[in-house]
Amino acid sequence: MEMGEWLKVVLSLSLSGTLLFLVLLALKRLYGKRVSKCWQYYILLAVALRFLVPFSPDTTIVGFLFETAQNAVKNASVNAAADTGMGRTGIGVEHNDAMNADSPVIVGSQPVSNGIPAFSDSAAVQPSDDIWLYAFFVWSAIALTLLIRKVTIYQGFLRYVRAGSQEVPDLETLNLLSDCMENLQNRRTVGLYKNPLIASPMAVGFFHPRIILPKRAAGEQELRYIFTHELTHLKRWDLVYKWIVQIAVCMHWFNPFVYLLEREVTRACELSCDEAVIHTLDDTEKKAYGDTLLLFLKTDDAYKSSLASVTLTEGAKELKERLGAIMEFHKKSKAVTAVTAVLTILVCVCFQSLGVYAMQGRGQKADFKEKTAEEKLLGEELADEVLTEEQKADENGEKSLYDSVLYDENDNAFYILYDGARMIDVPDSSFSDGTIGIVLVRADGYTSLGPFTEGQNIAAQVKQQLDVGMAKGYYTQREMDIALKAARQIELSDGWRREKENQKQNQAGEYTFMQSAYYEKPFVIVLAQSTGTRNIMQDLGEDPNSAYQKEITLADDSKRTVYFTQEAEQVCQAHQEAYAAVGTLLHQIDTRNSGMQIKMTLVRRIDYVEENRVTEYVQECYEKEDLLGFSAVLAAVDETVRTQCYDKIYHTDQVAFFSVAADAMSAEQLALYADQAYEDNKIAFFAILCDRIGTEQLQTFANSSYEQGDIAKFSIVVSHLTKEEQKEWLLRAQSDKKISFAAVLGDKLNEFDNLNDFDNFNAFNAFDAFNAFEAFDF
Amino acid sequence: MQQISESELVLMKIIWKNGGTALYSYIMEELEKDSNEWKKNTVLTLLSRLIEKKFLKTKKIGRRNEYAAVVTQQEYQTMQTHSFLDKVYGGDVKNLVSALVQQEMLSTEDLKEIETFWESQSRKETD
Repeated sequence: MEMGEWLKVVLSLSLSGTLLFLVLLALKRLYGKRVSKCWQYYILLAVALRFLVPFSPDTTIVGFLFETAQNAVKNASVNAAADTGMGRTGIGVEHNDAMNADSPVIVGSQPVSNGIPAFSDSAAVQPSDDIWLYAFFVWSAIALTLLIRKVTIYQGFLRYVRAGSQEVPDLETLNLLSDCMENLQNRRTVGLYKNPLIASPMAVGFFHPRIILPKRAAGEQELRYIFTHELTHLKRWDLVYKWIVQIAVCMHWFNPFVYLLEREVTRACELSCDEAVIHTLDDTEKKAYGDTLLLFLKTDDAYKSSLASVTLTEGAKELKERLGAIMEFHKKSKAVTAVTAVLTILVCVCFQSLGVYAMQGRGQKADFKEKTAEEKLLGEELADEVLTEEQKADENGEKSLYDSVLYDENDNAFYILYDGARMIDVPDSSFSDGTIGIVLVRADGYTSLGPFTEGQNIAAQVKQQLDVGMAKGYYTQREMDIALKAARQIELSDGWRREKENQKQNQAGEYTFMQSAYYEKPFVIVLAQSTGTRNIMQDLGEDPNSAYQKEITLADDSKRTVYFTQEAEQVCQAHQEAYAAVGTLLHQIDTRNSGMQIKMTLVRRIDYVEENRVTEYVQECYEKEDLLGFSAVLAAVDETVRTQCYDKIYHTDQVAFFSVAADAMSAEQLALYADQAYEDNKIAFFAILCDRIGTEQLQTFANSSYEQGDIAKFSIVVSHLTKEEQKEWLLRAQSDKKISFAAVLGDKLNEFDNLNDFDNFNAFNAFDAFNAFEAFDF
Repeated sequence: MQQISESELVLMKIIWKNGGTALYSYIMEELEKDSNEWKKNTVLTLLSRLIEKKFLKTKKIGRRNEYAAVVTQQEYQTMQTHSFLDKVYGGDVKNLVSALVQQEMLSTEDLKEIETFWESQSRKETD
């Protein structure tokens, strides 16, 4: 085994690691914030290992690339030397077996000892081998120096931290730590120390883990967050992960991408740790957690001269991201989980197929060409998608249009929940084999799109249907935005599609149906209306043949065929005037949406509600969580009762009902509730209200949340301001040096560049290296 | 010898009381009688600190740890007395005794007793 070969293995590792990393970075632009931070963190481990482990299947892309390049270089040199002989088979082939038999190269020190006899062996024959050999020495010397330096700096840092540490003696704090450990089911003993020299809490030590707190006093709740965060680091063996990355950095010191990887890992580590901590917290606690993070950013003057300054500037940008992630956190839906699984498989496949230089791939070139062509195609598609994603992001700011996407396999439908809609609001609907549908679910009704042919570009199909529908006024701009964005996400997560051998083409035409409730005295009428002729009973999960057809005379004496469910029909039998009420209602709807062409109307439900029973009915709906009925009659309820009702909804935290109720509220009531929600820290309510209050009040909220340092509310308020207003706030936050506030705004305005100014403070410092390994700064 | 904290002293007292050695389970049992709450990790942390400070050492008995006091209670008291004397009275015993007498913490009988004790000690030395 000659030494030059080792270098080739390293170079090929470098190449394949970089490629995998690039694939992942491209994917990241697509999945963005939708995939769990934890996944994003651990998938980077695959990249780090790709940089380190020279294990690969027989044929690999990198192996092929490498060989081609090598042959080209060799041919050139052979020609130059006018050597017209048979041409040696190549540097690699002779050593093929030896190389595969050898254990993986991890650090440069190993080959130095066993490589020397090989030197005289081969160096004389080929001049290019000399270059390899020389390069190998340079590479290993630097790699080794770097590794030793990192280890000594780390040890030095540990000594530094340990020297200034005092044990935390008080029983309460120790018990608190114990408590957190029990919650996390952490079995190792963890020491607890205090050190006035450090700026933020950290966890150190492989074998004897300990948590070190800065001198700054923290309250019980804060300590709890700190402990949970640091214990999570310890429990996940993050330090080992970081050192794996450090070894990759030493080994691939010449590759700029490993430094990027190092940074990404550090970032993803904190983000995923935050995620692990907050996934059990509610909104208020999340805010408190964010405040705890901020607490350690505002370091005392006394520490500024020490290494704290590094963490301060380094932290500002990172913290922005962390705070953003905390506030945006919501549990991942089924669909997202499915997407994640697909992504994982994709990365694993890349991991395998990229491979390393193993010199076995001769005779397989045609195959490779095909593969790389495919890769390229995929790359272009991805790039296109990224572009449209970004354009959309620009139009809508950073605010997420919808809460979550659910995919129901049985129904073959995607449910997009928005405006505070909950699982309970998801209607029954189904699409037949080979087709899928998208249902936009609000708290008080839904709009259904479809069917779309599976296996074709869904986003394009949705767009087509929406374009037609928009022209006719079927959809609002908002619905269109949401549907398009969701369709694109669904398209990206193509892998959820089950493999279906015999895909049945469904000839059903395009249609849309929506369900809403109305109060046409004295009846509450729930209508499902479709723009297609297909029987919507099926989509509602009811027997298609159970519907009654009835000709209804509208107010303008025109006639229309309307379907009634059994349930609705029974009510109509009891109250014959119900038919007339339906007629009046349909006429009203017709005049309201002149452009809407409804081909089929289904009366799903009719409730007989006399005017004097309205109050009672609202109460019932509320108790039964029947939002449709509630939304229909709320406006008809007596003002004083309604006000009481709002109060009850507000105090029992019924967000969905509140978003319906908000539509019926007067401007003064909205303003009052907004004030109250602000005071009570009811973030979800506050967000609903911010949608509906005037600019003046928004500015007041922006002001007070800014002055109180309440970043969560500030973030909500400013997203309802205009771009110009946001810019003004950004300038103010920057001049006040309120880094995290500027960060929130920068995020909203996509003006990340403004934040780069902070980087300029970040002068190089020997302590810089701490961040790399150590210590998970809280 | 290093200083130990109050909570650590509680653990040491339990071990001393048990004749200088104790199992973890015994210590936990005793701590249940204490008015303060003692969590598992808290106790383990304190015990490992005591080992670090060379107040304790461990011996494996099967899968259990037995903690044995390296420092006896008398040694500890002596050490504490010295350090207290140095810190508060600048190492001068006379100042301490006069303070005790003035505060009436030391009765005349106590003083007599000390005298006889002192005489018997010095007699031994001259022997």
